[in-house]
Amino acid sequence: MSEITKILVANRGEIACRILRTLDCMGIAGAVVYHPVDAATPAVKMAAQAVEIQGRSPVSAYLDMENIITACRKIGADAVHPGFGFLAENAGFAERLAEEGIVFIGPLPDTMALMGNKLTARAFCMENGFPVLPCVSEQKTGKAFTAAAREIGVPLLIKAAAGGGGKGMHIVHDFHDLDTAVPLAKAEALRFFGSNSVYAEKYVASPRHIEVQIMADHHGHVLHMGERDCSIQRRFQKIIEESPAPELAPDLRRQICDTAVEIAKKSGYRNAGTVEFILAPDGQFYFLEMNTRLQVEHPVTEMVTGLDLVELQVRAARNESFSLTQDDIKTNGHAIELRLYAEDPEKEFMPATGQLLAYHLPRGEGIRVENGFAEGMQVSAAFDPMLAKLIVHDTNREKTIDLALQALRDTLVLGVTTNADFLMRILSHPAYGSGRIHTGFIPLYQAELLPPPLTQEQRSLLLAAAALSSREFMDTAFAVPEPHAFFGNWRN
Amino acid sequence: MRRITSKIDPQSGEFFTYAAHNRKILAAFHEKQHHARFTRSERDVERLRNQKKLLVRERIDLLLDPGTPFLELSTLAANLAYDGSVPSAGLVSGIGIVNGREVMVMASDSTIKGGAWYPLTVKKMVRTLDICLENHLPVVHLVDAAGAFLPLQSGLFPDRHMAGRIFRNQCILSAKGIRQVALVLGHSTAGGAYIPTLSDYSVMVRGTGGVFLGGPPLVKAATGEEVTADELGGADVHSTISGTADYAVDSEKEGLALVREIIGTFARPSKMAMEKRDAEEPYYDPGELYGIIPDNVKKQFDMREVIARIFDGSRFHEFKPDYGATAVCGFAFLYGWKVGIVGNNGVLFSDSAQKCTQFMQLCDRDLIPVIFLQNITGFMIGKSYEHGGITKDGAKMLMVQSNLCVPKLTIMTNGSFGAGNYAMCGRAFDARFLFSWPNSQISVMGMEQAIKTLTQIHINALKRQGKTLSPEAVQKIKEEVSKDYMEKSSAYYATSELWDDGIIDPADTRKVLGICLSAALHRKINTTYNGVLRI
Amino acid sequence: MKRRIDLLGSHYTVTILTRPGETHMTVDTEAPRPVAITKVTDTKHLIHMGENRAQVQMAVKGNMAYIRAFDRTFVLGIVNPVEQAAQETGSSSTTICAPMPGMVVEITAAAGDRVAKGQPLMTIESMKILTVLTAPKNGHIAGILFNPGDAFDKNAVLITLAEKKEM
Repeated sequence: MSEITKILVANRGEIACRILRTLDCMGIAGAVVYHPVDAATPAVKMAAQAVEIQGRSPVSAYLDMENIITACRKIGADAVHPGFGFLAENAGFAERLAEEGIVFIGPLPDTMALMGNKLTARAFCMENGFPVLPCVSEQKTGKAFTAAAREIGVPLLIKAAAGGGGKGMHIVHDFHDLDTAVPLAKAEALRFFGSNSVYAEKYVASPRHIEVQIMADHHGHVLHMGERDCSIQRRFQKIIEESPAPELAPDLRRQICDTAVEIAKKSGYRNAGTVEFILAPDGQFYFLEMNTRLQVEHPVTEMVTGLDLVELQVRAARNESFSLTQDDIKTNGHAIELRLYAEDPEKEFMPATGQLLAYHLPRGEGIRVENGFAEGMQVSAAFDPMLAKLIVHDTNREKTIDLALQALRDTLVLGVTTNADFLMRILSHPAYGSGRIHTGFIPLYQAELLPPPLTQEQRSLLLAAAALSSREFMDTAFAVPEPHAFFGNWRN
Repeated sequence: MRRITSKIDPQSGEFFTYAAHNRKILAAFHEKQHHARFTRSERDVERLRNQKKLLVRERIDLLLDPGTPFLELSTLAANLAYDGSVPSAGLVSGIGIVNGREVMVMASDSTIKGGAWYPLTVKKMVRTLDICLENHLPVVHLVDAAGAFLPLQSGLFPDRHMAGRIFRNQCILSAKGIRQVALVLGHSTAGGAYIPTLSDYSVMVRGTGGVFLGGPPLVKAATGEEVTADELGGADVHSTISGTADYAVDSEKEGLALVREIIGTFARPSKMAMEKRDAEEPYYDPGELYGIIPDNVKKQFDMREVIARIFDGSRFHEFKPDYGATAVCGFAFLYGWKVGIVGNNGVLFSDSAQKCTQFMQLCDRDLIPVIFLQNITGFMIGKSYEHGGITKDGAKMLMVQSNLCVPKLTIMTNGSFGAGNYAMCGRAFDARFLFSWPNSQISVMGMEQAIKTLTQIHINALKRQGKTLSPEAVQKIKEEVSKDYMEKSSAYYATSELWDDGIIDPADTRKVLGICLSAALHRKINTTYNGVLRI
Repeated sequence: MKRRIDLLGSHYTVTILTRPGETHMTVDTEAPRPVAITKVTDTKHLIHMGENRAQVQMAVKGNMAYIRAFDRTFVLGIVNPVEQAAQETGSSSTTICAPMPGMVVEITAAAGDRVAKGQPLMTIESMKILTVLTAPKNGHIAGILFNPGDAFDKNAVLITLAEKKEM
């Protein structure tokens, strides 16, 4: 068992706070690195030690491995928790730390390289007989491509091999269209990504995003902590996650979770990871990708299992052997995570910036808040626009949704536009309530998720509030003197 | 303070007769005023619209705080001059509120002869700036005037109170710390160029605004230089090169908003310290004034009935109520400010003149503004009155009234004849403001004696030429004389010649006095602490 | 006081009239209504309007009011009248003149470009100091009369602007 007495959290914001909290409970000293723009953040205040780092931009400061290693040496940290984002999935970083004799709290670099890369992970799963979406590889061209495509059947999705973010994607519903769609996709792929290489994949309409939390020690124990449904997404990013997944047959649930464990085992996985699947409406599920780190949405799993995933991560990194067995892991009730983003849902979810003039987050039984901001702080465009996560837990899904709505009603963010109201409208939507969710939920119900129009009375009340509290209107320097104030716009 | 008990019966036949008479006068007045303010030829309006200019009243509305009053002065100036072709003398002036500050607005009306200056325009401008000097009111100049009306230049250029006085007044205003903001909305040429240039803040509108000593045609004629108005003295030239203006803006709207902003930066005026009570509306309806003013200038009415319909709560503390009964003196409150009132209830006798004099001394020592309610035929004449020193008592009244330090406000309610006009603070005695009711008359002597005298002079002159006159001819002379005399003693002639600051609806008197008193208090005065003589 | 307030992409002209003891609000051309505000806590306020009452949570910073009410959060912007007027116009053509003699270093706009007030157009060097010249108002670049490296005198017209793109 390797000794870990001081851990440097190579991250910022809410996740840094969340990790520090567990370290504190475990009696391990927690330190952070911070760029000067984050000097006043709660994470820096919470940490036992904080090391300032520099970079060309705030983000690049956190992405600079040497910054982290120097900080570790400076304070004598013997391990690094990368959180998520930044260096968390960088195998090279894990290798650099190993060279320095610093423990990386996460999988082995080789596993990260294998499973962290979409294409290699997918090839690995195909080789080992795990379900992946049938596809025509980018290596095939011309007739061979078409023939392979026919074998899979329509609908097909043509994608740029080097792409991402929805660009250069074409759905083909009829083989007659294939001959036009492929050149078009190639041309777009070339324009957007500099390579005209494309591949085709079976297209699943209205799929669900189901993922399984995995935790493995260094002694061959691979456990799953159940699944999460992360189907509510905008711009390909999750905003509401829940566990357990609603409307999922127990058999299918077991199948999915077992598959995830098998994949992890096969790849020699260690520490925390998440196996993501696409679940088609017909009940077929396919491996999508693996996240070789702690996830943003891990708290929903913690709420239903009662486990502390960060603690397990540290234990695994300390080379402890888990005494916990799969049978010990029970899920209790239902949990939903709401990601509170500084963004404008009415303007295509563009990130919003500004000062947090009022920032009250909810409290209460069954409500957990992961937060990295404080009132008065500036929300800049330098980082991801997530302000906080609200995780609610109750005995069943219906009650949890009610609690989630209550939590959002008790949330007050003024000064920066957030998606809080939008989240409320999703939670209140009947389709969400009945568990009929899929990754196309937000575009499908776009119109219904718009805020109701204001009544004239509401509009006037708002204008009155703004005017009456405005210096522009109420400045006593501009008060009309008496007796003129009594006369209205009298003219002689 | 006791409330006046009105003896007027609003149900009486007399009340209805008077009211009908006065409402007719009032309707004619409102019609004339509306005409002067709003009747413009389509061509003139079109011309302004094509230049992207706003009409003068639109400009003023944008300048003033919304929902605040505007007391327009001398709307009917020049109404009986220049064949009525220069309504309001081509100028709008008045007191309004800009960002909470009381300001004088002086705005050219370029729908009238391009805003050209006629003799009465100049007289109105000088008077407007005199008001600012006397009351320490800041000024906003909205400049859009073509320049002097050349055919009448001799009547507006050279004399002491003619055009030069405008600029002289501007300079004195500046030295007294009375702020002036000018917005140049048109070409401001020759002397007119000094209005913005002598202001503390000068804003010019790009494109339409121009300031030059000599405009492009004059430059061409004098030196042969060809230059556009914009290159010669446009907004950018003056705000970036010459420094003649301080700001250039892209539109009238922006200019007016900027003027508002500038005024908003001024310190709020600290006014003359006066105790102020809560205001109280009059107990009696001011509208009843129409039934109180008789249908003939010779019919007497009780000034207390007027006081009861102007001042707070209709309350009046009468001073020396049993002495010199033809004058009414006493204290009242106007929007919470204490004022002294001197009013007429008949011809002035020695005792009534003495009472007025003593009362005015009291007001002056205690820093109480005095309001004169004129309805005066003059001082009593006759042997016993001369023996009693009526001229001496009149002189005392003039002496004290002329030298009052406190603000004086005068209202011409009905008649204003002879030396009574002087004693009761007529135009020559620098009342801070003076307004006439539309029924009022003003002349050196009463109409009937005057017409009799004038007719006799005409007849005598003709007789000396050896002419004999038929009774019809005598009648004709009498009619001509009386028509001329009536016109020249009417409120309309008075206001046309700027002998007052405007004709007002009697029911508005309270508001008008309120605005004027508030304006007057901008100038702080100190008491001289002379003992009050019981003369 | 009268100001434009922007809410959800719409512009409203709001007039507040305060006289002793009462305040009235007029929105656009609607009838005036008595309004009042009571502060409950730092953010919580009661708004009274005629017979109506609403509790809102509110924070104000500069000309922006952030209000949570009716289960939504709103941002209201109060527009300064001078800026408003400047926004609404953009009439005559105008020129950008050299504030001092110098040399053009960099030009960051081209003839025909639509430019916004405050947008940097040209960097000039004079007395070893770089100065950025910005658009004095919204409009189009009519012409740029100097090239990088060119020297100019004080008051030289460097750039001309026009309201509309000239064909």
